[in-house]
Amino acid sequence: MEVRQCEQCAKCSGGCPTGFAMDYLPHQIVRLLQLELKETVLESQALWLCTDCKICLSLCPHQINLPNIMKELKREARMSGAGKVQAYHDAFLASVERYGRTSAALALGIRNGSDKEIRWPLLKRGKIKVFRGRVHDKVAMKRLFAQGKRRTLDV
Amino acid sequence: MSELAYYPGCLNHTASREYDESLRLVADKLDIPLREVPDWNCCGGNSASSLDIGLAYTLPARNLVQAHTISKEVVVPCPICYENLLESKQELAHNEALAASLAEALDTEVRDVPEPLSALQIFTAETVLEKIRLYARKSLSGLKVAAYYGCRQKTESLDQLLLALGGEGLNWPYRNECCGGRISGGNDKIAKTMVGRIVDMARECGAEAIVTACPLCHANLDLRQFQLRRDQNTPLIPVFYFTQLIGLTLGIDPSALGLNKHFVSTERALTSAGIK
Repeated sequence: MEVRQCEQCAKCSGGCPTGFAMDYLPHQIVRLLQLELKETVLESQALWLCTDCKICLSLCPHQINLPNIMKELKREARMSGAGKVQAYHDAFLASVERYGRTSAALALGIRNGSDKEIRWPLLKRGKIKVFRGRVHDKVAMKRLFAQGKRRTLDV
Repeated sequence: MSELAYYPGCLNHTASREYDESLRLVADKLDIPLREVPDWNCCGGNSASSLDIGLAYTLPARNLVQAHTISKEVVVPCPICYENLLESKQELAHNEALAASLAEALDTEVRDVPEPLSALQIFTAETVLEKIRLYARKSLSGLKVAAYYGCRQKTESLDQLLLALGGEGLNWPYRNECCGGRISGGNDKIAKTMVGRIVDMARECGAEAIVTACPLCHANLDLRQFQLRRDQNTPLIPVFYFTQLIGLTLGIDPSALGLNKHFVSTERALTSAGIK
């Protein structure tokens, strides 16, 4: 596995834009994987703070594809039920399954808490809608999602 | 120019509607005929690739299949949608099982799906830049603009465009810094911190405006900056879509370009550029 090549230079952590909010920094995630402590990584909050911006990959002297590793780990965390999968992603896909498209309110995360105050300014500008656009070919969407569920069960 | 398929994406019908509106107006002026992909669906955003690798390919692929009847190329304004469509096309090229299951689900043949092109790529092609220079009725000269590419666009094309519009891109270090748009859905506080850093840097470098080609960057910078205003007493920096800047120089009405849909007022920047 490519994480073996990591020599803990921590350039990835220096460049990571969300590192300031992570429980484990990117180079620490790689170290945990080297030590085969994957469970800790699957439960980490850092996993869900990776924005996939790929700056770590561009800084890594060994070109370890940490963004891809993070994505794989997210999927594994969801499958095994480890840690707390961000409800946001589940809600996003549920909306796509139901309507074929997602709403701006969901994509921007303005559903609750402090963000409620900007709902009206967004509605006024027509940036969130009461009736969202949807896909007419519901059968095709249903089949794509059914295939996805079958794949998940196969694994 | 022959007609090109156009995939707006979910945000361009909602939060980034001014991107969609300005893009269509500008395309029309520059004789780039666009036709919306019929019955398009969400590309899966950041969530499909985080949760289900299959859907991460099949959701964008349905759009490629839908665009197939219009042209061999499909124009995609959002860099996230663009990346998803491109990765899907690349995967379809060698993953026969994927192509077969897609054909079964969509009940159609999946062959020769169109090539995704980013909108930025289309509008900054040399021939189009030439046309912009020719048709320009106004100039951005005098306006200091920070080209903000975000994490997805590793090019210099916004700076080239600014030159063609009579302006000049500012030299600043955060052009490729991530805005946090991809995680802001579940972590708005973290995103606000990231936006604050980027806008502060732009201000420090003397920017009077920021230009972007990404709906997530725009929503994040414009909206979150507006939200952050309460805590700071510093002037806000307006954030433009590159299509709006093209439209302004072509003499299109600012409100038709959706400038009135922004959260941070663009008035002062327009006055500074002598456009208003």
